[in-house]
Amino acid sequence: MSIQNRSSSLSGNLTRRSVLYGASALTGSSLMSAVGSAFAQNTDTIKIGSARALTGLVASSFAPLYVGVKIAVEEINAAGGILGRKVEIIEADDESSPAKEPAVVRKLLDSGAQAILGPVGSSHTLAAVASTTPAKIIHAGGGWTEELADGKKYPYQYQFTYNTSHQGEAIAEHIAEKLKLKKVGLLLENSALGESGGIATRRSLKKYGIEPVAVETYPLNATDLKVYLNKIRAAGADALVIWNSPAQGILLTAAGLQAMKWYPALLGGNSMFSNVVLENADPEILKNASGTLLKVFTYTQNENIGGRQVAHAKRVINFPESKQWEINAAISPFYDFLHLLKVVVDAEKKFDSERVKAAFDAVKNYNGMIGRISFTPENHCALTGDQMVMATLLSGKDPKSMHVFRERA
Amino acid sequence: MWFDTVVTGLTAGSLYGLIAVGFNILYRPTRVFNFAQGDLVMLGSMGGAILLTQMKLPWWVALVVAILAIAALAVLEERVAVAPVLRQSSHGHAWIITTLAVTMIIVNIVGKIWGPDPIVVPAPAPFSTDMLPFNGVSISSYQIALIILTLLLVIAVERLYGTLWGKAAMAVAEDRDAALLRGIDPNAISRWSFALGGGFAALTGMLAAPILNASTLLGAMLLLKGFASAAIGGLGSNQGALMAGYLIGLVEAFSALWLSPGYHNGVMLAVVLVVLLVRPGGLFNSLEARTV
Repeated sequence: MSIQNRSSSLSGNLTRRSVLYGASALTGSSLMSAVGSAFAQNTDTIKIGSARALTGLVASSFAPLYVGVKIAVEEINAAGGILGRKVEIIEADDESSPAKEPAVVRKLLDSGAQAILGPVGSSHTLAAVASTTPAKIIHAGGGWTEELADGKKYPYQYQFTYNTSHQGEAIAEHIAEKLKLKKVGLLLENSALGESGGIATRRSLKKYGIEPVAVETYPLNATDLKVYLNKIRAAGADALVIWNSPAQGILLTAAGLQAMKWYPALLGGNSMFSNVVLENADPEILKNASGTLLKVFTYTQNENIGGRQVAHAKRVINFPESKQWEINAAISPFYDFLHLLKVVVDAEKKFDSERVKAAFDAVKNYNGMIGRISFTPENHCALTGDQMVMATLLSGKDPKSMHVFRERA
Repeated sequence: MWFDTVVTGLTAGSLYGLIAVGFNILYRPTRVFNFAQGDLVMLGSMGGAILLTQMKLPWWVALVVAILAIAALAVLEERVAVAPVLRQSSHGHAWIITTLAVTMIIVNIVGKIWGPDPIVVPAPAPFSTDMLPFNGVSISSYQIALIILTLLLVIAVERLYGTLWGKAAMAVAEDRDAALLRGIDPNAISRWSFALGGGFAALTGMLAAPILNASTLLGAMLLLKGFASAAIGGLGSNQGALMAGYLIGLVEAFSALWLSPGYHNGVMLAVVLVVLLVRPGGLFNSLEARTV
């Protein structure tokens, strides 16, 4: 089918027993997470498990990516549901901790989930696939690392988004072909994303005969990035590629560049598009800054945004949880996952993981919201590198952007 | 580049020192190590940022409101999470769990209210985070003010222990039961210590915000290094905390300059380990002899 840390030394009061007591209390707290249905409960429904952070540090930051779930469920149910049954989303809280993912997956399965979406984040998703893979359940994670596209390693997990490989390609092409720059410095946060992004960028730059003049890795709890930036500048870089997930890293980078009065071409992933960066970074820095974005969410002077994406954006920005991160809400991987799941299951006339997997593996050029979606048994990433482009940060101030779209760089 | 690195180290070191002094204010009279201290700093920072950027209050007003609010929250923590367990056993360690629980509650609540995107906070006038126009030197008026203010705050906290209240607090720290026999109310001292520690945490958060931005990640960002500063400075020693803060800040900055990328936290922790192996009580403290 083809569908397009000696404790007594410190104080004399802390003991090993005390510390173990504390640790066991922390572990015990994990038992408090709950499974709940976010939508109407009905026995005659298709249940989809949603692994997500409802509490903890990333709860509000990852919430925008679940807006696509709400919209998709509404649309699917309005169109008759899947196999004529309404879609019901069952939510389980991972408390913002990757360590909780196996228990979350177990709870969702015990609650009758026939497929699972989420969690968001590469490390969270990698922790979840360790459970969804042996359970042989169709799973759409919200991670961007290349590893998650390996259909042989994770045969039931599908990446309905771009990954760091595609971003690296777009960044390298932009530096070499458009900016015509040769001296590139890399500033990477010490995380899975920073490592993966750094590897992808170096690999892609190599295709253009470019070897970075400096590669600096900073710890996530760094308080000042000027030392790293000074080293990159001293190496002669005229383009700076930064890989970090939270906006804090970009703001510290911008503060460092501003202090140094150094304005190189600044390139990075889509975390560059945070509204807080747009509103607070030095305009001189923003002028030379661009981030990776899905081509269908960009425009040029001659090329407008697709009507379908505009209509979707209008719905997305009305959700309160979309505020500050409208782009992430609009390009949520879960919207296309649910719609494609409906198409496949309805065509198969049965919700069977093996048959759904076989059908997903055969999908070619499905017209998704995020672009043309294709899978193979080996490649479980929905998109190809040519669907990723660089877009300017400053265009976020253009009313045409609707806080969602950006002008191609 | 050398002077820039020293400035970076001293600026970060001042913040680590302030976090460590906050720990000490609570630890000295109560022997309680408040694991929620980092989150109180974060709340002070976020609360102050909202008062400044959304409610448009003057910096000094926002500072006073944030200090009072976080001091009240710290007293609530003491009443709910610390005093009951100390009543059951003044030498017990159940406070480890209860202060950790407070941390978890705070993290869960703030995660639902605020995202990780930071709030950019301007430096209080007349200071600025813009670099001063010295030839080849990168330092802002706010960095100079922060380094000097940190020294003044440590001196002020030390002077506090010379007052009647401070001596009472030290008496409670020495022997809670004996202090009670001398007419000192350990519970009141404990409450006031938490209020003072909470207020100091809010002040630290407000001072950190113009440099690090206000974010829900601020507590986690500073807690480990603040704890390390308190440990290698010698628990209870404010001069030690400040010196250790500078040491950690400078080690961190110079390791970023000289060493392979990605090993900076490891180097900082190695320094902590070496100092504690050589001087288990910390740089400015000696081990206590206890009869057991």
